[in-house]
Amino acid sequence: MKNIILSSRGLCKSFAHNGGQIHILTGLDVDIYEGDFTVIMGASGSGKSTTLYSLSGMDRATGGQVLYKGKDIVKMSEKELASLRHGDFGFIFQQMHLVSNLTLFENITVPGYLNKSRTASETDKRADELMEKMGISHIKTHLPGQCSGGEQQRCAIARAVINDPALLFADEPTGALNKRNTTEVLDLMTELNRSGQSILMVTHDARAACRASRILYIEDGKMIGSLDLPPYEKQDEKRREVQVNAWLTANGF
Amino acid sequence: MKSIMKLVTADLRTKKGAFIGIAFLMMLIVISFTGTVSNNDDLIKAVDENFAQADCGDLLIRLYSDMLSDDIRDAVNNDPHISRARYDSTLMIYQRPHVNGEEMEILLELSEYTDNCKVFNDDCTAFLTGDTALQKGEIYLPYKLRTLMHTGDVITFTANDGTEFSLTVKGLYQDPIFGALTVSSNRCIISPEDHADITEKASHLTDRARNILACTDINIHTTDGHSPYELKKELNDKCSIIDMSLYSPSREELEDNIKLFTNVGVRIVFVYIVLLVTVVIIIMANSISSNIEMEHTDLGILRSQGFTQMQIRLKFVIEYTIALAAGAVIGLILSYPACGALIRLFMRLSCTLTSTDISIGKCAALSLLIILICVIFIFAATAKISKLSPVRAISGISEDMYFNSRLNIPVRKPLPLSIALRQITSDVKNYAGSILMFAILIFFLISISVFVSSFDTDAVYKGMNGDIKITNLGSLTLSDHDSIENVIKQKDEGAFLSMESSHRMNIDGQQIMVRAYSRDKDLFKPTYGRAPVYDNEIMITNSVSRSTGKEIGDSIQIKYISTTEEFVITGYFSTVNEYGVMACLTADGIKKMHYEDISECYVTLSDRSKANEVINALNSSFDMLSAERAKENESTKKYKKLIDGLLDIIGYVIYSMSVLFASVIVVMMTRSAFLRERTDLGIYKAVGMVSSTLRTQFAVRFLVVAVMGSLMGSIASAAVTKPMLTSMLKIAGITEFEAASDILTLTMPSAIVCAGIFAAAYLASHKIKKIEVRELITE
Ligand SMILES: Nc1ncnc2c1ncn2[C@@H]1O[C@H](COP(=O)(O)OP(=O)(O)OP(=O)(O)O)[C@@H](O)[C@H]1O
Ligand SMILES: [Mg+2]
Repeated sequence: MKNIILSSRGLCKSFAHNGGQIHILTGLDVDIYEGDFTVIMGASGSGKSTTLYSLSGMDRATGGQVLYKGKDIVKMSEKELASLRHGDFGFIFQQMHLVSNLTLFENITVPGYLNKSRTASETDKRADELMEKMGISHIKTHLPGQCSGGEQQRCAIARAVINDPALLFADEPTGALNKRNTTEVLDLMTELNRSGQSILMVTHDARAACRASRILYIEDGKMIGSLDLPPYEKQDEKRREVQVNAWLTANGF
Repeated sequence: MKSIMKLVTADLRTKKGAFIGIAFLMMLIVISFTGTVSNNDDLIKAVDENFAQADCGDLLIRLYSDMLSDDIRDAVNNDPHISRARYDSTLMIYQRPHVNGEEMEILLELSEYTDNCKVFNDDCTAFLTGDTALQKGEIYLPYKLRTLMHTGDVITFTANDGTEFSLTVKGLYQDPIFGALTVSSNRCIISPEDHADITEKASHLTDRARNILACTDINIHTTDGHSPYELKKELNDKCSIIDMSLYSPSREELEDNIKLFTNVGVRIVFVYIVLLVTVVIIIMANSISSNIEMEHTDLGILRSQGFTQMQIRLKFVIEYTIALAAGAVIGLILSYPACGALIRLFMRLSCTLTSTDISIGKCAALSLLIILICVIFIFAATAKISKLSPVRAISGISEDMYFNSRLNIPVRKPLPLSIALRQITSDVKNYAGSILMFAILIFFLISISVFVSSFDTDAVYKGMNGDIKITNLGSLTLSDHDSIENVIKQKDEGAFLSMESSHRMNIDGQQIMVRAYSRDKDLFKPTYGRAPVYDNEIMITNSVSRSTGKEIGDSIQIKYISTTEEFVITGYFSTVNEYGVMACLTADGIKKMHYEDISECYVTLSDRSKANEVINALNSSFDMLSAERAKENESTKKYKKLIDGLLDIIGYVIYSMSVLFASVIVVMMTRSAFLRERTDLGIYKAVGMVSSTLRTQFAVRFLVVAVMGSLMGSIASAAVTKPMLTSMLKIAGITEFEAASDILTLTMPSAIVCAGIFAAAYLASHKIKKIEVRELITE
């Protein structure tokens, strides 16, 4: 039996718009398990990103609960959220969002320095290891503007895991990348998951979804189905794709 | 053109912040100069009118009436260069008056009431219009004495024969000529009957004690265009009238005495304006360059739509000119109340009631000039636009905002500090401008502090003091020094006596106040060269050096009545007494001139408990003098307080203006930094930074900039402040400054500004709190 790492109950999110309210999430219940590579799929505009941001505390939900380690993220203070962001969660954005005047190395270490359980030199060492692993150690001192999209995204992944987060969030991490870079990034994430990293990823791309051990399908802000898969192996990629696509079609994707 | 205006209106709406900031700064500038210029103009107008009404001549010569011989009258009346001369009588009371029975340490002069006399209403905001004539026994005081005496007070003094005169204060009047606080005489107005009575009891120069002396003011109007200075020389050659006179100022000199402080004010404000305009230009250039960076896509699109480079530059020029013009207009409007307040303040010094009109034409023209200068710089600052390529802009390739600088400081712990430093080093050009701005502000603040502190009123009213004051000086001379000191030393071995002797003498043809002290240490301190030691040495002020053309090492001739002697100049000193026109001799030196009357005399004790013993010994040994415990001179204390207060106010005003200016700049800079770094701030939050860390980072950044600016400003002021202030204050007689040696004067302004900037930046960055990580997402 797998442990639940994060769960939501009756999660609601609305936006004020033109004086009225747009309700995007209307009572979402979801459980994310430890060690899983969970993928959220759904049509464009179905509320995937909104779900991810509400679950990760990047954006505050307007109702319901998000429970992490027995605490409700929705009710957390600014300070608690900040410590959650650098201590427990990692986040990868579609647009990388690296700080433009920090070198790749510094982009990775800055959240590391926020972590009080490590010394600065331990953080630096860890960052070096990660850059090695991500294949970007040769451009350590480059600014983001001087790097390719793939390099930037690998840097963003390294930044997200510098503090060994309990849960790694990713919102379409390959959305801005070409095919070759996409494969590289997905491989890295699969690799991280194999070594025990729990991941929650939003994607559009069925090929990316194949990396998952569990797929959730969202429509109009509600979870309408889930699919459990065995751990990803390269050799049965084709077969998985067929299975996932069939399931998605059945859900109306 | 129409399309440009569309863009302009859209920008004015969406980028309000920067424009409000610029308009606000312009407004501060306009208020400062409009207030000062108008104040000055109003005073000049009032002084001109008052001098004309009082029928003040081109040259005023005051003589003891006893010296006004027929020869002199003939010489004056028959001089071809004199068109008209009027003889007025003034009584000089050489005795401290008693006010309501208490002796007051001032000296009064009494003139006869005429119809020209302008009497103030109760709150001194206008003149009384009805009959203001004085009855016997009544007296009007000049405005400057308003803090010392009040309506209803009774002033008494006695003539040599013991006759007591008593006058009741009826009100305050405006003395158009000697009224300014900067003029030492206190001319009061009495009824013609009293004037005649007192004149009858006046002493004569031949008397040993002289309680009241009658003087004659000769008001001379020269024929058209003849210089009063030439006339002085000519008259003196004929009848020695100038040598005998008490003083002989020209109309110009009399007017300058009244305008002294506003003149200084205008000069200071002028320098301030030049510096502030520079600051505004830098901040606009900064703001324009960051606008261009942030809008480069939009601007590229405009170009691809067929806007020429010139049209886009014009857009910027129009936008900023509108902001400047709006600021100028608001400034001119606000000047009306501001000017009124300033004029009320300066009335305390000029003691002249002026209108509170604004010199609107002049100031509007000045505003226009400033705007024009700014336009040139704005145009230059937009040159970057020509480098914008439409293709690059549209394809979304950002012209890199940050460059890989070798100066970059690694980002390490502590994060707020190192991120702050990184922001500065990765955008050096932008922050270099800011450092320069703060340097300018700090420079000015230090200069002002130096001014206020060097304008040491103790030095202004340099007077001798000690523990025991000796009065009844009429019969004492410098030669009595040793015999008196011997008596003192028998009681208190370490005590000593200081005597001051001073009189106007003719130095190189000019009437100059000459002072001598019985002890070297009482001499004015030389700012250059050394103090006189031998009886043929003299120390002069820079003003005297300039007007006589004589320098250290030169010899100079002094005449007093029938004595003429040569003296060698050994040094320069500085004073505001006598408007900086003064000379110092040794006690032996002034004796050589056959003058040794004492004007001040004090005993300084080494053992204060012996005071009574010494006083008794002095009073019993010498019946011609009287010794008493010295008390602080009330009237100089009040003047000092007034001037100190005024200087403080000027200092505070300039301080708060500068701090306000600096705060507006900080707010503008944080805003623009904030807009540019919006995404980065969101990212920092997303990786788990709390807002307070980010805000601290913002504030630290500006603190660093301010500290660097302070350093530059301090260095600059160490080099430039002294000569700058010297040239501004020459007219006040202050020609040399004690260098701002004390650390506090140099560091206080910096400390205040840096702390203010840190706080302003921290407050201005409150928006960071509101930046949600969501803004990254929806982008
Ligand atoms: N700040 C906002 N204000 C108003 N509406 C918003 C806001 N953010 C998102 N929405 C709306 O919420 C809905 C869900 O948005 P969300 O970004 O979660 O969709 P998504 O599933 O991630 O879509 P995509 O696959 O295109 O990324 C959309 O219809 C969007 O227009
Ligand atoms: Mg999305």
